[in-house]
Amino acid sequence: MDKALLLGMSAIAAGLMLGLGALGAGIGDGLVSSRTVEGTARQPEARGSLLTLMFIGVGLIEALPIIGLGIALLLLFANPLLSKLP
Amino acid sequence: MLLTSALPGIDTKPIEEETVHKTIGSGFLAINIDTIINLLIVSVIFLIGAWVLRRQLRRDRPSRFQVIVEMIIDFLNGLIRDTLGTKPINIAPLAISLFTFLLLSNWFGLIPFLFFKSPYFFKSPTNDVNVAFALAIMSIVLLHIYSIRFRTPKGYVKHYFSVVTPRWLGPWGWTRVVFAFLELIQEISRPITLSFRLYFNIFVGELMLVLIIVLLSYASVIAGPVWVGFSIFVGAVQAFIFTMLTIAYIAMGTETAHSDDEHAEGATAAAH
Repeated sequence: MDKALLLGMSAIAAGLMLGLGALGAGIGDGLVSSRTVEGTARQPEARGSLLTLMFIGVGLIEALPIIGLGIALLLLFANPLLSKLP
Repeated sequence: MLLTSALPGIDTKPIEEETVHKTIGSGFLAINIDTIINLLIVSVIFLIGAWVLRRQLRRDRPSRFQVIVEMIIDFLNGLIRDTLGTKPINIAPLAISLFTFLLLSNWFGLIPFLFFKSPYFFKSPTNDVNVAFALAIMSIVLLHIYSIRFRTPKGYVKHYFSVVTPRWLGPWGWTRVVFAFLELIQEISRPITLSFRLYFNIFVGELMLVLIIVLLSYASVIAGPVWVGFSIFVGAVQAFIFTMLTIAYIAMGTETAHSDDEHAEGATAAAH
């Protein structure tokens, strides 16, 4: 019974983690990319440096949902709490 | 450490092998032997690459390998020049070797290992948090050494108390102590975020690869290459970000206190 509860809670937690993380990161990525496109349209010669900055920004943003994904996978496949059950 | 799986009916041994490092010793002194083996392999590849490159350096007719390395070096040199300006900091050798080393180690775990997979070989060295944290601590210690050298020890300490707070927050001395505390927390959190960003990206990339192979069986023929392509991109971007943040932190940390002070005094005069 305890085990089933723990597994269900872990699955819900993993789903929430992934969904909310992807939501925030999606908004952030969209903002960064749209501003890069705007900047490139306004100043095509600045494309190189804008692209570099965009990759830095996207990399910084993408790290957070991937940390969430890591913890979600840990909860799903190698749950450290399961061994703590009596 | 024994990990129990939540999945009945699926062989989860590869997943556990991917998640748990093989260790020698126990407790605080445990050594992740697989990480060390992979680090040595990557270092040997790195050194052999450098040796081969050194042997076939041509000024008139460069080989393709030489052109690629020159592109990387040119790119990073331009970046350092843009970021650091004219400060006398010779960070380029460190940044270039850091970037190439991280690139190699991030891509190392993506070698198709399906048939000769073992818990010891062909994992990225950077999917261990210890390696990432060691590299981050190296960058941050370097930042503080440069910071002390450029600002002098007195200016280095003074920098923590240089935040200009608005008048309504209270008397000057007290709020500055609070903000110095916040600055200190920021300094401490830097190596942690730097290392966790690198570690989790690489770790999740490889874990997802194993999961795709284990869970999707035949469908992994389609999903696997897609994820490997994404992981190659992520590995390159994370190596670049680690290098870039090291350079940017050093550039921020070595801004001389002179201009800072004038700014603060001007703001204080304006507030009064």
